[in-house]
Amino acid sequence: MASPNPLQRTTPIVHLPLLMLAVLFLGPMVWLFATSLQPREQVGKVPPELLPRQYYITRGSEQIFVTPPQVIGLPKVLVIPGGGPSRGQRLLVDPKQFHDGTLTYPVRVAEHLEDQTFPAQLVQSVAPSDVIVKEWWVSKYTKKEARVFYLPASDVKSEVKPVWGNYPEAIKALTADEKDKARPLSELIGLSVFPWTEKGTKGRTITFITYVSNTLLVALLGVTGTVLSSALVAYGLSRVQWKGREALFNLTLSTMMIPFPVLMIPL
Amino acid sequence: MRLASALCALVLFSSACSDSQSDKSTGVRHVVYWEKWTDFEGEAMGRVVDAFNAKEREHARAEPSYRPIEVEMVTISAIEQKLLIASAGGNPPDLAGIYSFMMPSYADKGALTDLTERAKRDGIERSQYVGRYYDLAVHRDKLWGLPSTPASVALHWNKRLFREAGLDPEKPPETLEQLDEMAEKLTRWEVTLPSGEKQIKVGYLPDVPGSQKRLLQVGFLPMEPPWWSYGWGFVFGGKLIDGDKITAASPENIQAYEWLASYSKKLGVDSVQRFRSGFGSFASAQNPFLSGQLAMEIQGVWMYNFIKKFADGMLWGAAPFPAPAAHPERRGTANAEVDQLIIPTGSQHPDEAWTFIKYTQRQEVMEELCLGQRKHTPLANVSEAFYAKHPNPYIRLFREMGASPNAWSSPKTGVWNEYGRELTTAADKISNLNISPQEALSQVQTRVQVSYDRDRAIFLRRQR
Amino acid sequence: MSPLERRKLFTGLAFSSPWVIGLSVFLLYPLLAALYYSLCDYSVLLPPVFVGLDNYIELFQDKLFWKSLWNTIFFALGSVGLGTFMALTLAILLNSKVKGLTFYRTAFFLPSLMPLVAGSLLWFCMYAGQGGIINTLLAKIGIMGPSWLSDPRWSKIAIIFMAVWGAGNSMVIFLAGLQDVPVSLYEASIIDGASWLQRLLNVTIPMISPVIYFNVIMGIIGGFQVFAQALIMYGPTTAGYPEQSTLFYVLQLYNVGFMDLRMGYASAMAWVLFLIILGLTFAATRLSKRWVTYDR
Repeated sequence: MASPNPLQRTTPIVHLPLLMLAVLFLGPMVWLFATSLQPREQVGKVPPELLPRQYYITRGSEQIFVTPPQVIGLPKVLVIPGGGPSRGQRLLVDPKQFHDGTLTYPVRVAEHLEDQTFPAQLVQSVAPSDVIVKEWWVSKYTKKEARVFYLPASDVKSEVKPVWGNYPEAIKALTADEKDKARPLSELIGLSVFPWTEKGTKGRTITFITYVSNTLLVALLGVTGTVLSSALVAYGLSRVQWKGREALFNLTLSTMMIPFPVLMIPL
Repeated sequence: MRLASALCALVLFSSACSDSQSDKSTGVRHVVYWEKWTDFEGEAMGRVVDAFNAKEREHARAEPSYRPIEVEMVTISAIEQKLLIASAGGNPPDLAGIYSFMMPSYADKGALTDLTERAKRDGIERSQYVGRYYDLAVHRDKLWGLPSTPASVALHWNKRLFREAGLDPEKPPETLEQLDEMAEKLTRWEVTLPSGEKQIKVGYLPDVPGSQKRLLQVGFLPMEPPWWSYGWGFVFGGKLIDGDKITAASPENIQAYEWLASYSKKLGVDSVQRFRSGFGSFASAQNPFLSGQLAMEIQGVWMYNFIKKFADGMLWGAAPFPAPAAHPERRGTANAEVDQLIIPTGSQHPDEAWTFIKYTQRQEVMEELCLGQRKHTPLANVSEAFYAKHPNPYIRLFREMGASPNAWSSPKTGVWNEYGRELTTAADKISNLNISPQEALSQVQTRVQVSYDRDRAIFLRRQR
Repeated sequence: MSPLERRKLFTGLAFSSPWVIGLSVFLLYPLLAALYYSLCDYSVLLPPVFVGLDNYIELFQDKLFWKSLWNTIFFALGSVGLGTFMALTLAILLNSKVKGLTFYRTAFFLPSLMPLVAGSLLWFCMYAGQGGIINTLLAKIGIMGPSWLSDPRWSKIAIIFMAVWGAGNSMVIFLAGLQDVPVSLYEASIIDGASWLQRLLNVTIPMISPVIYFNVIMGIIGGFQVFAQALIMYGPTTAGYPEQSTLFYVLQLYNVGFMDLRMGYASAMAWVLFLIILGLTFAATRLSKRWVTYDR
């Protein structure tokens, strides 16, 4: 029962604007969190999507995660030439270049390109509406070879699946040395350079731990120093009646107004 | 409590004082090398550094009295500012990789070590390079750095979109007029009629009251990317500086920006703004060219990497940027810059840094570096193996573009930063149809001329 | 001075010494050094050369100086005005004992904890034209959103919205101030028959006017120094991208000082900013004597 005192009553009308404003204020953070769980390729998608979605194909009983499909647009054939500089590799070529089990394509000879013919094996023919997808992993630093598939668009399915692996990846990405980014996280933590370790020591690398511990050190020292000296100064300003107390107080206030650029350049 | 804070202060102070790895104790000459590259580009240089260090260690093993050089490459972002601050603070790296357009400003302000004598002594000459890339390191007749990896640009086009528009996918535009025509055929709109029905229309459409239109695809946009929007004048035969005069408002430059503005007029400023602001970031699958929203774009030798990474399977081509039909000799007028290795003033190990620089200039090393970064090389001699191994099918084109007499680079002046900024802002305003090219460029010319004169006066005064 | 006064003076100074020393080294020296540099041509890499008032003369004739000053004033007034209004509204709404008070308070305060860089990147992604989440949601309710970041008319407003989003900490300060308002005043006004609006205007606002004053001053000081958002959203070489509409004062200072290597001119700009802020604060103090009630 609402009390008769207007001060004690909660007007129900307050709830609606509050709720709307709360949605507005929290909205960006919710969106930030949702995006953090999306695979890289989905992040900048136009129009933007809220739920993380991963594409996959099924090969027998295996579910392979793949990159978002790209339409080929022109009819092509996938062949493996038996000779020449691309021997044994899968090549995507124009159907006109492949006939009777042989492939004709330009090869660099000395300073110019020359058409050469090699026996080739047809793997599959690709229709213009087919798509190309590549095997996908969370880490963009994996050294494994990604398998490439050319499939009809309907074969590539997607499901809503958050990519929690983005978080350890983000932490790993803060490593200074490119080569170390491929190492697992646990290894990196053990080999980090702390403010008190010498960098030159064998195998030590600058990782996110280095950055975090440096920041922590600065923050701790800063806070300690500030709190201690502030307490002292405040005591002096408030408890002790001395000449010039007012002046110093006003001076303190005015220094808060100094824009940082004024100090930045000389320092 | 006070003791605790005093201890904290002591710890902080002592850690700041200690220096890393004193040379004398380990017998190694430590060279700190700041480089801006990350990802595979950084890795490519990393391999060169490792190879150099290994060679040095070999030498030390064979000859015990020799103190090997050890290069440590550090990846630094925003290298222009950090280099400046480090030099000013008296603690610069021993070696750094900068962009060629930063060099004149730094050289004039005494931030770089003069390398002319060393180059002469060790037989490094202009003839060993593609002339332009060597010249970009020379300022006021002195050599300030040596090229590491070059960059040149060309017109890229999307073959699938050409085919869909009824154009021959293998034939890029050869003249500027052809480019304009093809761009029109490659522009598509989604028109929502008053009835609510949606239609797809091709070409440049006038505004019809009652119906709304939205761009789906554009043939070409001079402001995409905006990185070289200061250089369109060169395609029309204009120059940015003539001797000591700033020539931003020359008739050729004005003509160039009229051409630039014509695209905004044909498409409508509002439509273009909305369309452009929906583009994803450059290095993503939502890059306008990679996602098929932009059919033709002027881009650099690195574009191949991004296509492979984000739009693998896209059928594309690259060709020299067309010139006006009246001047076919100007075909291929495009930007060419180069990354340079320089030794900052105050470097602790200039001779060792020089040894490393010389190592990178060797043909086999340079080719490995450029191959790793998938660019072309700045050297005059190129091995066939380089072309054979190179994954970019158009690599020879990019080399030609860099070596072409039509290529242009940022003018070598200390006020280039300001000039470039002013021109980019002017191009922006012109493409938004907020100001006429004549007016905008005159303002830029007047303003930058003042800065240029002032900069020159200061420089001359210091010489005395 | 009597011996007692002298001893007290000594004690007072001793206690204040850490701060006085810090002040001289970290504030006084740079302040005076910056003043000296502003009278020189100084490119950091080479020693400064005295040029007298040349920098200041050039400053007042520089079109970009006035443009950046206007941009900054627009932003400061906009963000302080809208931000204070929003924070005050939220605080008043939350001052009533609503259900879920803790949830709402957290919701509004959380964004202000976001680091500036991360927040700028987040809003940059949200604003991006046709693809951004803001315009997509607006389109769903039938509004054609502007291209926030590429339209010079909207870019500053976009950054102001981002600043208002972080108004959470002002709100918390207002909440604290609201708690201090004596309930007896409210009760008296209710007995006199005051409506909700009259209570708000005649009791609440005057009683928390010192808090409003404090927030406005801090907001102006901070607002004039806006810099990071423009730099992060547009990159250092674009100088206030949509036709210099986001070229803020400190961004222009940064461009001139660190990109063009003219620290003398940049120092002059810094000192002018300092004097402007000082002037505004002084004006606000004068005004506060009229508007702010301290009745303790």
